[in-house]
Amino acid sequence: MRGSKPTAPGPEQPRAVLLRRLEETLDRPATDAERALMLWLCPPAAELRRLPASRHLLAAPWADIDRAPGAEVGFLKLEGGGAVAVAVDSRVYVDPAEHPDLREGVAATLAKLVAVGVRPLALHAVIHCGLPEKAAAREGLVSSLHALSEYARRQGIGVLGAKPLFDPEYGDTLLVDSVAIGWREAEPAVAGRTPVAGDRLVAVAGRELDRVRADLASERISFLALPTSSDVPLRAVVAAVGNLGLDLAPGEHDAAHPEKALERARPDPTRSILLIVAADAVDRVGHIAAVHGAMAAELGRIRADPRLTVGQGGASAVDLPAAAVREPLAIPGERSEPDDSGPGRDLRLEDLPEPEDYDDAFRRVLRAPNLASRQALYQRFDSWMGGATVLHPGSGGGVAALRTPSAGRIVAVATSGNPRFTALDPYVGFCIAVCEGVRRLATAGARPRALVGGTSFGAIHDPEVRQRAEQGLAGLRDAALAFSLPCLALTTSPAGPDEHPAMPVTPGLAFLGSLERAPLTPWFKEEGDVVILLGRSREEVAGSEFAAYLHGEVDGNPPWVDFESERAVRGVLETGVERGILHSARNVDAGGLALAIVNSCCSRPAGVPALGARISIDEGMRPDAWLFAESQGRVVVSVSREHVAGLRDLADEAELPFAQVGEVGGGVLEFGELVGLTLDELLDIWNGALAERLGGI
Amino acid sequence: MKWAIAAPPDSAWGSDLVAVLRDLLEHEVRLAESEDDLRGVDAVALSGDEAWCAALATEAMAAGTLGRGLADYARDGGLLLAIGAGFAAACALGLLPGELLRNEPEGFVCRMVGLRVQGIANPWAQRAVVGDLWRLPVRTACGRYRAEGAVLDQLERDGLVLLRYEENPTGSERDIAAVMNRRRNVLGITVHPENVVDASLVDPQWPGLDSGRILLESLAGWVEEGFHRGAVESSR
Repeated sequence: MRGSKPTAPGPEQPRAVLLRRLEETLDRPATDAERALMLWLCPPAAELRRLPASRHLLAAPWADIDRAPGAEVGFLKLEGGGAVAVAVDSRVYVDPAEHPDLREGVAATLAKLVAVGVRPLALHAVIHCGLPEKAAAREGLVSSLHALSEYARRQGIGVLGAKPLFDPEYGDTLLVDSVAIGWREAEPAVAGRTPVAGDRLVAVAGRELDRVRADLASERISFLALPTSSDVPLRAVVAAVGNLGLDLAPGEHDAAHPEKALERARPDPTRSILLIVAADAVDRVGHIAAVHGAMAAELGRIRADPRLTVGQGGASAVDLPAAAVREPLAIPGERSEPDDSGPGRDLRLEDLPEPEDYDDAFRRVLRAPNLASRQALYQRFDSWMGGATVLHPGSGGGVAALRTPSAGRIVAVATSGNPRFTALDPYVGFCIAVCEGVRRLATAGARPRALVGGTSFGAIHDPEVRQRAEQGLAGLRDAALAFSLPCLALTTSPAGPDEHPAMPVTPGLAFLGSLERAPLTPWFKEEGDVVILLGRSREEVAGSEFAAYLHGEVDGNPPWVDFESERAVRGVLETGVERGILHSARNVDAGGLALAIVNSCCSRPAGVPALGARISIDEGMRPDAWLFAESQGRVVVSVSREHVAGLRDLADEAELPFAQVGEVGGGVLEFGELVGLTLDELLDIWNGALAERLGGI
Repeated sequence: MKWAIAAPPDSAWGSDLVAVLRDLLEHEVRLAESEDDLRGVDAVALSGDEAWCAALATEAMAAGTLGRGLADYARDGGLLLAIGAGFAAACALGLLPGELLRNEPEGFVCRMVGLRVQGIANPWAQRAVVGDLWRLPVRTACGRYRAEGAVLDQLERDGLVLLRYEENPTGSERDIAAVMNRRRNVLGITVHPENVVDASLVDPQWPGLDSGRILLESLAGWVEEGFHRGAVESSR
C-alpha cells in the first residue's frame, strides 16, 4: 500500500485469530453454528466506533442532533421543525466476479432509514475503483452504476450523484460509499422502547411499513425498530438490548446457520423491519401488520442475561456471550508499534520536469479520469425522482441540494475524500477532506451543519491499518472540531477477516448544509464578469492529479492545511452571497485552478450556454504549479466589475489573499499565452473523455 | 380543476404529480385505483414505471380495471395526459398511434432538453406560441417514439405532433417528443412537465423556466372555458 510500510504476513490469519479467541472466551470448542455466526458478524464497524477519536467525534453534546441506536442514522434538526435524517454505508467488493451491482450497499443504507420510520428522499454514492483501463474495474463500475440507477428508480428515490473516483491502488476492488437522505416530520409519537427481558423480536415485512408504524403509535404500542439489511440485524439487536441477551428461534433448517433466521425476515431490506415489543403486544402487531398486507413473524425473545442463544428442539446450536457478538473483533494486545520509518520522500515542484508544451499538457490533464466531466454518467441517473431536487448532479460544483417535503427548507449535500492525500498522510488527508467538504458547501451559499462518515480502511484488524485508521480519525475529529461540525453517523466497510483488500485508507465523507436562499452555482453567468481567485496558491503538487496522471508521481506531503484560512474563505463567501454580489463560486480542488476554471466554463446545466474565459498566469510561480497545484483554502468566483472593489474589501478584512485573475467571455478558454482552446474543443475533450475510457456508459 | 392521477400506489410518480397539481396549482386531486375514480374529473394524468404501465395496458382487457377505465375515459373524449411510460401505455391501449421503444443509443437518459412547440390549437399549448422553445426533463430508458412512415406523415399533416426535440436524446423518429390523438384530448409526452412547474426548484439552475406550468395552465384554461369533452376537435 502506498504511503505505508508493507505489512509482513503474520503466522496466523485473522480468521484463525478470531476463532481462536472465540474458543478461548468460551473455554470450549465452538460449534459449527457459532463459528459460522462469528465469521458472518466480523464487520469492523464496532471496532471503528471504539477508537478514541470516534467516541469524541460522535459525542457533540452541544449539537441539535440525535441518532438511532448504533449511530448509523443521524438526525439534524432544523429550525422551524422537522429533521433531516442521514444514513451512511461503506461497502467493499473484493472479488471482481462479485461486482454485480451496488444494490446491496444501497439497500442497506435505505433500510437504516426505513427502520427508524423515515422515508428516503435521495441517494448519493461515491464509487472508488481501479483505473478504467483495467477491464474488471471498468466492467464492475459500469454494471454497478446501471444497477444503481435502476434500483433507485424502482424505489422512487432521486440520485443526487454517483461519482466514480479512480485510483490504481484499488486494483479490482470496488468501494462504495452511499448516503441516503430522508426527512422526519416530527418527533416519533411513541419514544423508542428500551428493551426489557421477556420482550419479543418480531420481523415485519410489507410495502406499508409507514402505516404499520403509524397504527402502532396510535395504539400507544411501544416498540424499537431496527434495520434488516444483510449484515447488521443481529449486531443491531444485540447493541439495542444492551446488557440483556437474545434467544433466537430459527426455522428447522437454520440452526446450523443462525444468521438465516434473520435473513428470512428480509425479502427486501427497504420493505422490512425488526421490532422489539412487549410480549403481550405481539398478537396486536401481527394483526396490525395483516391489516396493511404485511407479514409478521416472531423470531425470538430478549433474555435477562447477556447471552445470545439459538436453540432448536431443546438443543443449543449457539450459546455465546453477547459481548462476543457486539464486539467480535476485539483483539487486545496484538497492536504493532507505530510506523517509525519517518516521513516519506517529499515531492517538490522541481522534481517534476516542466511541460515543454503547456497546451498539450493541459489537453492531457483534461482527459484524466478523475478530472474529466462526469456529466455523461450523471445523465444515467434520475435526479428528478421525488420532485425535491434543487441542484442536480454535475452542475453544482460537487454540491447537490434538495428541498425538504414540508418545511420548504433547502438542504445541501457535498461529499469529499481524496484517498491519495490520506495515503500520504492519514491525519492530514482527513483534515483536507473536511476542509473540502465545508468549502464546497460554502461555494453554494450553504451553512455547513453536520457531517457523516462512511470510512473504509480495508482490513482494520491488521495492526498497521488500525494505526492509520486511528490517525485518520484523529484528523477527522480535529477538523470537525475546528468547524464545530457534529458527526451524525459513522460507519465503515464490512470487510471480513478473510478479506485483505489492497486499498488505501479512504474517507467517504458527506456534509450537510442548510440554505436560506437559492443555491449559488459554479458556472460563469455573464460576459465581462471578473474572475477572482480567493486564497493562497503554493507550489504544492504532491498528491495532485497533475503529478499522478501526467508524471506518475504519488509520493510527497499533502498540501498545507490552515483552518484559519478556511474559515476566512467561508466567511467571505457567506457575506458575498448575503450581499448578492457573487455570480458564481467554484471550489479549487482536484486539478487545481485550471480545472476549477474549466468547471466554471463548462459545468452548466443542459441548455445553458458555456462561456469562455481569459485567465492570466501568475509570474511568481512556475506555470504548471499555478495551473494544477492543489493548494487548499481556495475558491474561484466571478463578479460583475462594479463589485470587484467590494469583494476585495471583504477579502482584505478577512486577511484572505485576493487575485483578479481574468475575465469571463469569448468563445475560448485561455491561460495566458500558454494554453488556448475554443469552447467547442474544450467541451469535446472534457465531456467525451470518461465515456471514451469506459467504452461507453 | 379536478384531476385523477393514475400512478403506481405510494410511488414518487404519483406524489410528484400530487405535489404540483394540488399544492402548487391548487387543483383538486384524487388518486385513481379503479375506473370508478375517473368519474367526474376534468383530466387524468397517467405516469409510472415501465412495468406498472405495461401491466396497466394488459389489464385493459378486463372490465372494471383502471386500464379499461382509462381507455373508455379517453375514447369518451376525456383529457388524458400520458407522461413517460404512461405515453407507452396510451399507445398500447390504442389511444395514440405508434409505440415507445428502448432509447437509441440504449440506456436510461435523464436531462433537461429543449423542445419546439409545433402547434397551439389544442388543449395542451394554447398559452404558447408556435415555435416557442420549452425546456423539460426527459427521464426514461424507453422514450424512442416510433410509428410507420405513413402514420407519421398523417400525424404531421393533421398537426398532431405537439413537441419536437431540439437535440434528440432518445432516438425518437422525426424528433417527436409529444403527440396527440385525432381529437386532441389525449397527449402522450416523453418528457415530464410536472418537474418544471415549481420555480423554487428549477430556477437555481434554469432561471425563468415555466414550460411545465404553461402546459398545465393551458389545460386548466381549456377546461375553464368549457372546451373539454368532445369539443376538442370541433374547436380547431
